[in-house]
Amino acid sequence: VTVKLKASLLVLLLPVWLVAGCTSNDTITTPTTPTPPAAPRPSPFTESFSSFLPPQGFAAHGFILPSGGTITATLTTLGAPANVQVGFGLGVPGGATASCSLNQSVNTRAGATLTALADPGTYCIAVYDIGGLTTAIPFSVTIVYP
Amino acid sequence: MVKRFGLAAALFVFCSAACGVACSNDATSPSTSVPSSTTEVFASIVDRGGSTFYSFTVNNLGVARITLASVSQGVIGTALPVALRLGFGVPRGTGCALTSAVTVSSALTAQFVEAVTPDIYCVQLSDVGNLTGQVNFTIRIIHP
Repeated sequence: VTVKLKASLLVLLLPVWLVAGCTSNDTITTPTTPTPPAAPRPSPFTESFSSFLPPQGFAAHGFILPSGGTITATLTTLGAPANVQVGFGLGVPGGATASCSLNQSVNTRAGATLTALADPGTYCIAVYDIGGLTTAIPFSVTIVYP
Repeated sequence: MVKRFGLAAALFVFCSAACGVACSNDATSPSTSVPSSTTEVFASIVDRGGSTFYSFTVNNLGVARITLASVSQGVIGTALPVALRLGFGVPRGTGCALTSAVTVSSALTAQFVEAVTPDIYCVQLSDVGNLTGQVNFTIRIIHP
């Protein structure tokens, strides 16, 4: 009788065990707080870069263009003296002589804007002394791209 | 009675094995392979009247995009708006046998968009008489 009872119990419990077994994973996972999706990046996107330019110096800043479009880079501010000019350029990273190989460049005070149509990829802007600096001066650049 | 117990036990063992297989997490989701591309930078110098080339290996079928991105002069590298001959071809002997070429100034959009198959190709940059001295240049090659 005992053996019969055990066998019947086993047959009865088998489906329950199977269902329970198949609905549980092999590892217990701790519930995690879902991460809210990142807000989509605005387009056009505006990026700023500020630094100091020393005499005979070259300052470059890279950025990634996720899709093709127009890059607009502006030398927004440039420190004193008021009459000094610097080189300001837009190009691609990795050159023979500098970290930013320039596609276009101007000698300028603050306010100059460079514009170029570009494929998706990595680009850079550069600010460099063209011989007029005797001390390091601050500058800032604003870049707008898709 | 013993027979019935044996049957139940056998059923238990069978179902354990079946469930073990059914519950395994070995199922693989469909892979979402994104065609990868390789970016190579050829940065060097070209002399007045000179020419230089660079070979690269394409591993997959696709499109190669070639951009003469910068031509500059001096240590700092002030950009020069000078036109140079940019060519595309296959290495042959000690040179680059061009299949196409175009005279271009530097730009940030590709001057060459070429359909390619797995093989070795080359890009060549030459002066067409516009240079007065040595210049630095940077060519960006994006290929599958």
